[in-house]
Amino acid sequence: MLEIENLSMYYDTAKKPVKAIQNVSLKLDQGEILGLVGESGCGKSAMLLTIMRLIPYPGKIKYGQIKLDGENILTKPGREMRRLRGQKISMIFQDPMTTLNPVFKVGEQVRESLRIHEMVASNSSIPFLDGARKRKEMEMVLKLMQEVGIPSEESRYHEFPHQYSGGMQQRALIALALSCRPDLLLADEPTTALDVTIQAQIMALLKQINQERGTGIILVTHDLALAAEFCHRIAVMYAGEIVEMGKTQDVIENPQHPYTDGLLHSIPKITTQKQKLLPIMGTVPDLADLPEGCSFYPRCSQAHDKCLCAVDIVELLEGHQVRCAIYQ
Amino acid sequence: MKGALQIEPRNRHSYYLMLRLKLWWNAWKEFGSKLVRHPTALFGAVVIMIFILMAIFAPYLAPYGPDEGTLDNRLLAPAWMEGGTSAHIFGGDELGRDLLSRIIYGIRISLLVGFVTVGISVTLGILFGVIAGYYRGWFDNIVSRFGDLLLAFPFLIFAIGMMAATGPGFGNLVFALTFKGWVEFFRLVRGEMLSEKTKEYVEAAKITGQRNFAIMVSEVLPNIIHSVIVLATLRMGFMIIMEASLSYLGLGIQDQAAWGSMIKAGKDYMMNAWWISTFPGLFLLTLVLAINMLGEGLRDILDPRLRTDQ
Amino acid sequence: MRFVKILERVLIAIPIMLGVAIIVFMFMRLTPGDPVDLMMGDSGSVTQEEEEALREEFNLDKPLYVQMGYFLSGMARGDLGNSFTRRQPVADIIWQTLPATIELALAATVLALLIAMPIGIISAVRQYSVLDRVAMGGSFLGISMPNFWLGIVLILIFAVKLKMFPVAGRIDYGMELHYTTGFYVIDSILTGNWPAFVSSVKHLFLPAVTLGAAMAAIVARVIRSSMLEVLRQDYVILARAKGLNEFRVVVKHALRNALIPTVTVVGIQIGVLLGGNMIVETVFGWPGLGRLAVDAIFSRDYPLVQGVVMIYALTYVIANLVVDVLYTYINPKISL
Repeated sequence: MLEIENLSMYYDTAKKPVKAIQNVSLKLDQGEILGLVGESGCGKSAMLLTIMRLIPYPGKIKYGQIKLDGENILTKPGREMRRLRGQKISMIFQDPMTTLNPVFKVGEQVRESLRIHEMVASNSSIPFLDGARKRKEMEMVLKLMQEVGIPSEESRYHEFPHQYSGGMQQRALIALALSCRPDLLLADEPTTALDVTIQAQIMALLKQINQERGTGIILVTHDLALAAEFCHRIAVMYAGEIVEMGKTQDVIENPQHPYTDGLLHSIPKITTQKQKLLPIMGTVPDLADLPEGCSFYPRCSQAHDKCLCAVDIVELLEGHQVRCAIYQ
Repeated sequence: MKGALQIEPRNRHSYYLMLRLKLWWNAWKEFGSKLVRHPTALFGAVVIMIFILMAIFAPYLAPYGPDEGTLDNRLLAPAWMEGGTSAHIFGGDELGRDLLSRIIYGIRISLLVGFVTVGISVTLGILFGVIAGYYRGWFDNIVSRFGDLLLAFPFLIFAIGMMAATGPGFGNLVFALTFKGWVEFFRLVRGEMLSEKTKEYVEAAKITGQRNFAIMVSEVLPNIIHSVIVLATLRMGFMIIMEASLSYLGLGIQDQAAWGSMIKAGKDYMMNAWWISTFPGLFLLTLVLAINMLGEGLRDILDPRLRTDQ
Repeated sequence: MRFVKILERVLIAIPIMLGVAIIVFMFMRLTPGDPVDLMMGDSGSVTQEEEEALREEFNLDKPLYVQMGYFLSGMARGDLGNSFTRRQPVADIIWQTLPATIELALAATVLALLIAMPIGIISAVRQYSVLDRVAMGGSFLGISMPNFWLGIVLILIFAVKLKMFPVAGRIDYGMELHYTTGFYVIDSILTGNWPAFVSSVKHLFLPAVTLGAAMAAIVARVIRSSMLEVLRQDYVILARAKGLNEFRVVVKHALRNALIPTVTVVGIQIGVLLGGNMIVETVFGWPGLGRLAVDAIFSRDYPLVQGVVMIYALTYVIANLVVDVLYTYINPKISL
């Protein structure tokens, strides 16, 4: 359904371009959940905004294609792109507390989405004064709110965001994202700002949506454990590149890239007693000043001479790709 | 605390003094380099310096005395216009006095009013604000309520009323402008005191056994003085406009060359001598503009919290 | 609930107004200069008895606290006393001049907002563009501009030199107009009097620009800075992600939030507008409350000054009250 080919997005700053996304190719099938995992600043959130074509200035897409159902959306004119946003592709954001507009009623914010994508056709000659249409839209909103688990939705409809708890706000945002029955849901760390118990509820809700509606989901997270539990496939990003991608089981149980391996070792496990955590040394490199060859090379425990040359992504097993000099 | 600072007791005092001086000097150096890199603030500061110098050396710069003039030069046109002479560059006013000389002397009034009114307002504001903010209680209640009452009057209306009551003159003018002017500084200082009071460094000072008033003066005041300086600069431009407005209405300073009075005098001759109002006003605008530019610049440099954009 | 809160605010305003009244009263009485002398000024020789009679008529022979008692109790009944110089009830005089002042103030506010809002919004959306820089430079100039001088320069250029607008007054001399509301622009429309309409609008234009300039400058800056703040917020990205076009994102989602700080500033500006009104009315010979106040101050017309200043203070207090209430409507987080 979604196909990304050789996508590169740079921020053209005054000095050097910041290479936020480099040569990324990936595919997402109908009803699939793909986890995009990496440290903060590795370009995973930029990835989602690029798919929405909402990268903030001075971001520019340099190469590549993003195809949705076979059509390249990067060449679409603004008007058509706006029609896709919120209708075919929806997004859920990291911090629900700041994402809902504080001055509008929550229900109305969801309804606005229905209205701009004309989910309810109007029979009236003056569409914006059509009372019947408004009532129908409100019913749809209430149904959506019920589906995402907002209790007493009738009164909640008329409340403002600050009257909601964080978890409820995220549910409302999910309702908003689902309002036009999108094929693709982009979730940018949807649970990071929430309590652990609420996190589990929200993830369960997303899973349910995926199963019941067949909505494809790209889940961006820094939490490999969460991705492992939730996703069909996982792509590990580092410094704007995908370094490893494959079925969840393959990536978790048989990591091929030293970075993935490092990530797995820096997560505490409850099952094994007294396991030593091995953090990855160093920090994510400056995206405006990347090292030659493999970007991970300066931090890599298995670095050698070959890492200084350009590294391509190769397919080791079926559907398990790795970008590392070891396999060149 | 053994071993942290190994200084002989009798040297300790001078060591701290040197340290303080060094820090102080570094702070000024940093401020200077920031000012130079901020074009708006630098421009404002340079223009204000020029005005201050002009005010100090007015007797040497002005070609004539402020009250010197002959009726021959009455409504004399500026030098570049027909009938003008290079002896009187901006021409003559309604009594034949040299307009340029009067404008130069007028800088004195405007700057003096600005400095004195803001100076008194700041002093009162800090004094009341520190006490009210630190001790709260009845003093805070009375001063705050009185301040609220004063704020119920628009500034100019209040000043006009006071000037009408007391009559024109420099002292009365300063009294009228500061009577309400201190309130804003009071509110600023009091508010900052209330928030600073709860911060760790004040607690730390208390634990080390400093007395309350010592804490206020030595610890808290340096932390709020930046906001006060910024507000003081911006208020100075405002006070200068207030003085000119009052003088324009005939309520300010009448016996000396004040820009507001000059603009008022010129208004009656606007049909045939437009320059009498125009030039003093241009100088007034330039001065206030420069002060506001410096104020905005200082806000960026000293108190980034107060920035309105970005 | 809202009604109770508003009532509470109104009740808080009462002691402030009382304090204002006492301060105004004391100011006028503690000043040198005898109003009776001033009143007698024109009429040449007056006898001792006539002077006594005048003093008695205006209660000037009574002790101060008695005079204050008369003033306060009169005010409570809506009676502001009689003017010394015009021998007319102060309330009547104020009532007659009020429309002129309101007309000017409204015109200035509307003009200022009409200019400032789009400029502030566009400056924020196109930050650092040429338009932004020019607009912000202009607004800086507007803030530093003494309004009486701006008025004079505008008169010099547009009235004296270009003769596009009249120098002073509200309407051409001798122009016939049937007065109903006292708002000349409205009156002329109501009576279909086209020449009077043109004349009154022309008279209104320069004073309104002068009075509104500072407000426009400040409002433009506030809107710009709050829009810049708001445009960075997550909910603006959400609005785009919903598929809204940029116009709606800016005008509906962003501006609605940016208005919250703006309303506060406009409220503060009302005080500036009231003060500026005195100056501008004097410069343009506009027969409103501001010029009335200045005249009354110079002729030591105690009751008239008291009355006018009370009206000013009242307007200021009411304006702030309205802003507070308005604030609760645009900011759902505040419930008064």
